[in-house]
Parts: sequence; structure tokens; C-alpha cells
Amino acid sequence: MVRLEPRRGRLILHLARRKFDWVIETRYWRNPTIGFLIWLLLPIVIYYFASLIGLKPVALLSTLISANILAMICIPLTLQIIGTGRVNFGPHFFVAIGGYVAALLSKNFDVHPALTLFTAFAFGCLIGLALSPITIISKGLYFVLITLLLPFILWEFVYWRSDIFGAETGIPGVELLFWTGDLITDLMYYFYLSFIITFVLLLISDRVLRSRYGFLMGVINEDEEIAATYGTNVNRIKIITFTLTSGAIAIAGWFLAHYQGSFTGPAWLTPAFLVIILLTTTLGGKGAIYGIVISSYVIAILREVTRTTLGEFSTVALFTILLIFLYLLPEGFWGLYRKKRYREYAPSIRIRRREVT
Amino acid sequence: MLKVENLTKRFGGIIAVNDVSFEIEKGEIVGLIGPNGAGKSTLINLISGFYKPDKGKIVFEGKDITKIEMFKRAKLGIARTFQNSRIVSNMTALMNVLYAIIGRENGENISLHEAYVESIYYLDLFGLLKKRDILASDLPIYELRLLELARALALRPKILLIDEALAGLNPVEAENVSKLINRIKEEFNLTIIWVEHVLKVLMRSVERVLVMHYGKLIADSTPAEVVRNQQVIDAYIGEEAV
Amino acid sequence: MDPTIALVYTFVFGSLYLGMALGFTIIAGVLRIFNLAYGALFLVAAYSVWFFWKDVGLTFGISLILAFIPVAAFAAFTYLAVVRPFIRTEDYMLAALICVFIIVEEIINYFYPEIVGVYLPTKVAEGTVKIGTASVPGQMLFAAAVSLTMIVIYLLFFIKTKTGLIMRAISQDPYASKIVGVNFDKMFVISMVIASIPPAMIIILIAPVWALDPFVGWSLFSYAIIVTVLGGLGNLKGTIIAAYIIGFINATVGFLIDPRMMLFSSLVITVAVLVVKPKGLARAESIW
Repeated sequence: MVRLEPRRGRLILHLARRKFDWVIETRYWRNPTIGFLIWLLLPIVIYYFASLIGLKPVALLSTLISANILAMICIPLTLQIIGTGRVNFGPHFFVAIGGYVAALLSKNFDVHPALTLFTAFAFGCLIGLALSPITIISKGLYFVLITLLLPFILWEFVYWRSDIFGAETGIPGVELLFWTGDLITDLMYYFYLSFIITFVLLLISDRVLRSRYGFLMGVINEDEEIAATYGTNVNRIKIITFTLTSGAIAIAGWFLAHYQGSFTGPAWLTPAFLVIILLTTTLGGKGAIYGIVISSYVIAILREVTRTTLGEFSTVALFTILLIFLYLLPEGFWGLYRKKRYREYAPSIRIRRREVT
Repeated sequence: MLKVENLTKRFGGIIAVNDVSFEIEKGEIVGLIGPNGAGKSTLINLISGFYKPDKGKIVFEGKDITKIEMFKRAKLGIARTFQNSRIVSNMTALMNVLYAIIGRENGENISLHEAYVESIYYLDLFGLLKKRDILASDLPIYELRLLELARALALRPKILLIDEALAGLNPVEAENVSKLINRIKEEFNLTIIWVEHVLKVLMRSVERVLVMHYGKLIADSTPAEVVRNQQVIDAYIGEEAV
Repeated sequence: MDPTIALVYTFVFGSLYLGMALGFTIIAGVLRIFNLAYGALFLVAAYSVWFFWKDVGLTFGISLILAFIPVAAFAAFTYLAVVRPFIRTEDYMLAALICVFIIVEEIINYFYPEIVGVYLPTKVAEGTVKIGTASVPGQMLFAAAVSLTMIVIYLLFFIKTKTGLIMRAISQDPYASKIVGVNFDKMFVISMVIASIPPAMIIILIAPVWALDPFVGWSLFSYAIIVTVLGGLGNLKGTIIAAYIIGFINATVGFLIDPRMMLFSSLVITVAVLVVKPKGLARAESIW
């Protein structure tokens, strides 16, 4: 029994015994819904728009995919930063772990992508679990340093055993996820896959942050000792958070490997990629996971625009623009949107240090 | 209820707490006083688990808790407040109480909604209900002290360690806070150890006073006797002479 | 392996790493920040010399001296433009500092890509020097000696001069030094500038033996990071010990196992030490 009932200012949909109402008046529209719809329809709109004015949509679509990949890395990273109270400067290490696991398994043992996804996640978790004691032992800058050194270690290791990891040439011959013969269709599939992954990560993170555990994570982010004084098992929450989010970051590496058909660690283990990840998280807003989607799109599009228009000078231009953003938007893009709404709790991300002034 | 035996804590060459032993019965309200640097806060930190003692034993309700972690002590029923009221300033007043409730229940046995309702109860108890949505960083110091007590109570403690609840308050506010402390002690059947510098108010509120000086316990009796104790007088006069 | 070789190379590597890390340690010690743009100083120094020498057309000697002006200016700029605005939000600061490093790297790569073939003829000692059974390139030995001299000069600076004393005071207790009226900005700029001299000296001296390209900054910088971190973030005593430990590791690993594993093994050992001793080798969080 489906019935549509128009009322003043709203539309009510009766579905069997349940009611769904949709407010017509624009100021009551829910922004997440609008954002979700825009995000969902973006590639299709771009595709038709591009074909209308005779542009090739390939570059546009791959930019959107790289934005999704960026969001895929930054959403778990934000969760991790909140839950451990420490800023991880080695997220690309976990991306590379996931990428290498997926690529090696797929190339050498012909493992199905679904299985490599699981393995990449599990392996990322495992490495995260092995490294999780550092979230308890070291604080502030020291944690930053250890995590900053991790990608360097992997980099050196990859070059040392280049017979396995292929160093700069990478590991070719990874099974592609979609192979229809039409590049645009493939890219559409890739976009929607990355979209689904990102969206699921976003939903999970949102749920977690709104839950009781998310609340405790927020307190840990603010003041660990207080959290412990009031009965929170800080170490357990930190270890669980670090482990699971490390695995989630490794999923991005899995996607990269199967999207490009090869995985080249040294291309991702660079400080430049680290800066892009970090700035996506910070420009997203302080601990705001929705802001990350916005900032990853802004940064990915910016990267593509500078790359196509400025050529050799593009990196300089990109990083200068990002630096200017950092000066002008200390609260991030999300901060612009919700300037006055302090009632909703937003944990701040910062590195705790001895006060100087 | 709480028994401390030969507790010793060193920081480098300094002995902050030196061979301190005492026992506190259920339902007592005990003042802990002493000149600056006497080791009062260190003692509180040792009992609540901030520091690990170098020597000695802490027994709570017949259970040795010397080596137990901080969060487990909180679950056993030891709550504390902080000298400079360490309230999470980035959160609202309500949330500051909320996390104590969620932490107390391990985050498992209580829904977020129930925790909200309960924290409103504790805020109301201290007259902070109207301020529930104000960021803690915007609250005046008097309300911060109350909020801290509310947060500590939300843990449903058996023993409450108060570290300078009156510092920085004017006499009227100090009087209010001390009355509140006595009220919650009766209402919640608490045992309280209260470290304070404002002796006048403290002496009127407590039944028993421990006096520390240079890490050692130099007196343990009623307020009336303590003020006549020569050692205590010397300790305080010594401080003023410096 | 001959113990003489191990000893000699431990000394040479250790002293070089010490020189690379010296400025970084000073910044970490005095400012209590982690200057991730430090690696750019190597590049600024080397390419400024080339710029003055080839593009402006000055003599090589004058270019060498003039090169310290852009280096100092860059150090001061880093403090005023990046460190000071973000002193309270350290994650922003670190990200911004890496940003600056990458920008400098890319600008230099734009104007002087590797095919330009930048080289600095600063060879003082020709050939190799034989010490017992070990033979070391003379230039490396010279650079090691210069870097040791620099350490001594800096130690004297910190112990004997008033500015050095103030810097030590800041590193020990920033709050107390604020009370007695230390001008933080001035002191921080000065320490950033004096900290920029050692990396410039080192890169100029080792340029003939080390391949120079626009991305050399990170590999030198990674040694500076390792040594400083292992030494305990801005403690000179710890840094000296750590530099020779890393030098020893590199000498033994390089000669015994595989030269490719030198950086890898020192990184692994550093992280392992940090997990056991989270604050590095040195005990105190002060500069000396």
C-alpha cells in the first residue's frame, strides 16, 4: 500500500504502515541528503556535461576517483587521530602496506580481488596491532617522529628487496577489477566502487563518533589522564582504534593496486603525498569527517587543474595554494559551514606539547 | 575502608611522600593539610593511581590496589578532583559529566540516552542545569569547581578525593562549596579526603585532620587538637617565616 | 671485517651525521619544535653557491661566502612565516613546514633540474687517505674534521656566551625565561639562523663526493632526523652519542652486510630504541 499525501510544506509517503515525510520548504532540507545526492550524481552529470561541450571526461572521472581515494585514506585517519589523541604522520605507510599485499597476492598467487581486499585489511590491522604499543608509549612529537620514520623504513626495504617489490617499476600485472573494454564505463564502475567504500567508511566513522565509544574517544583526544581518572580503559580504546583504522587505511592501497593494475610503493611513500593527506584532514575541519569529503574533492581537483595548466610548475603552485589555505582557513572547510554551532561537540586535533607561552 | 601503609614516593632526590601510614573509616570526612610542598597532592595522586609508589601499600575495602591501573581504581569507586580543575574545556558542561557516566559503565551497560538523563540529574544537583550547553572554557571558576564535583559524583564513588576545591573562590562561594560537600557526603554516603589550603572553612567541615610536613605525617586528630599541636604550629610558622 | 675500518668509518660517518643533525638539534632544543623544512637548507645552500657562481658570475670563493645570506634569510623566513603563526597548532605547523620544503625542492628542480649537472668544486683533499688498513676519501675526512670543529664552536657558544646561556635557559624552562623578560622572537630567529649554518657547511664540503641533485635534501635530512630523534630531541650530548652509534651501525652494516641496508638498519634500530626509550637516549629535555 503506497500512497503519496501532499500537505502544506511537506510530502508524506505512506508505505504499508510506515510514514516517510519530505519537507518541501528548502530551508528544512537536510544537508547530508543533498550532499549525498550531489556526490552520487556527480560523475553522470560530468559525463553528460563533458560530452555536451566536447570535453573528454576521462581526466575528470579519474580526478573524482582520486578524490575518493584521498577521502578513503583521510576518514579512517581522522578517526584514528581522535581515538588515539595523536597525529599519525605515516598514513601512507599503511596505504603502501595494503597496496603491496594486494598486488603481491594478485600477481604471484592469482588471488581473487575480494580475497585480497580482506587480506589487505587484515594485514593492515596486523601491522597496526604490532605498532599499536607506540600509541601508549610515546606522546606528541615523539609519536609524530616514529610514524614519520615508518614510510622511510618501508621505502628502504622496498629498494633493498627490489626483486620482490620492484622498487620504482612497481608490481605490474595486478588483476583489474573492471575490464569492459570501454574506458569510460570502467571509470564509472571504479568511481562507484570507490564511492561505496568511502561512503561506508563515512557511515561507520559517523556511527562510531556518535556512539558512546566515539564519545570516550573524544575525551581521550582531549585529555587522556582525565579519561583514565573517570574509568575509561584508555589503552584498550587506543589499541582497538589504531588497529582497525590502520586496516581501513590499507583498503585505499588495495583499491589503488586494483585500479591501476600495478602498485608502485615509492610513488606513494613520498612526503608530498603525506602532506596532501595531512592537509586534507586538517582542511576538512577539526575532526569533521564530512568536511574531509569536501576537502579531498577540493584538493584532488586543485591537483588536477594545476597539473594540466601549469605543467612543470604545478607542484609548486599546488603546495603554495595549500599553504595559503592553511593560513586562511584554520578551521577548515567544515568550519566555514558551521561557524556558530559550538553546541555540537567537535573534538580538536592537535599535538600536545609542553606549553611555551 | 582505605588503608595506606608505609607509602613512599621519590622524585629524583626529593622524597615527596615519606613513609606515610593511616586508615580511614567508612563515612568519615578527613581533611589533609600542610604547608606548600608537603606532599598532599602527591598523596592524592598515589591513591588515585596517577603515580606508582616506590614503597608501601594501598588497601581499599580489603583489596590491595597498589598496582592496579587508574581506570580500574575509578571503577572500584575512587573518584578525585584536580587542583586546577581539569575540566575538558572543549566540551560542554553536560558532556563533562556524561563521559564519567559512560566511562563508569564501561560504555556498555548504558545507552547514550540514559547517560544523558543521568548527567542532567547530577548537573541539577549542583545547580548547573541552565549551564549544561555552555562550553566548559566559558564557565567561571566557581562553576568549574561545582562541575568537577558533579563529574566526580557521576562516577558513583565510594571515596572522594578532593584536591583544593576552594582555591580561588571568594568567601561566600567557598562557604557554599563546603556546605555542598557536606551535603553530598550525607546524601551519597561518601567517604571524603579533602586537601585544602583555606583552613578556616575546612576545619569547620571535617571531623578529623591529617597534617603533612615535608612528606611526613606529623599529626592525625580532631581539628580542635590539631590547632594546639606544637609540631603543626611549627610547620606553619616555619612556612610563614620563609 | 678489520676493526680499523670499522673505527675509522664510524668516526667519519658519525662526524658527518653529527654535522648534518647539529642545526636540527639546536632548533629542536631551543624552540621545542621539529623543523621539517630543515632539509631545504641543504638545497638552498648548494644551489645558492651555484647561482652566484654561474648565473651571477662571481668568483667561486665569493659565491661560497655569499651563499650563507640566502641560507640565513630562508631560516629566518621559515620562522617568521611558518613557525610563528602556527606555534600553537603544531600539526598545521609540521604540515606547513613539509609544504615549504617541497615547494623549495620543486622550485630548485624547475630551475636547475638534474641534467644541468650542478657541481661544487670544493675538493680540498685529493685522493684517499690510508689509516692503518682503512682507506678513506680525503674529502670525507676533511668534512668530518670541519664538522667536529663546528660542534666544538657551537658548544663553546652555548656554554660561554650570553646568547647561548639565554638559549639554554629557554630550552630548560620557557615559562621562567618568559617571566624574566627574554625576547622570544629575537632568540628564536637567532637560533634558527645559527642552526642553518652547519647544514650549509656540510653540503658544501661533501658536494664533490655526494651526488648533488634537487632531491638530495631528503636523504641528508633523514639522517638528521634519525640522529636527533635517537639522541632525544634537542639534546646535544644525546645527539653526539647517537651520531656515532648511527655511524657505527652504518659502517658495520655497509661493509659487512649490504650497503643498500645502511639507512634501513639505522631506521629500524632508531624506531626500536624509541619504542623502548620513548624519549631517546638523553635523559634531560634541554639542549646541553
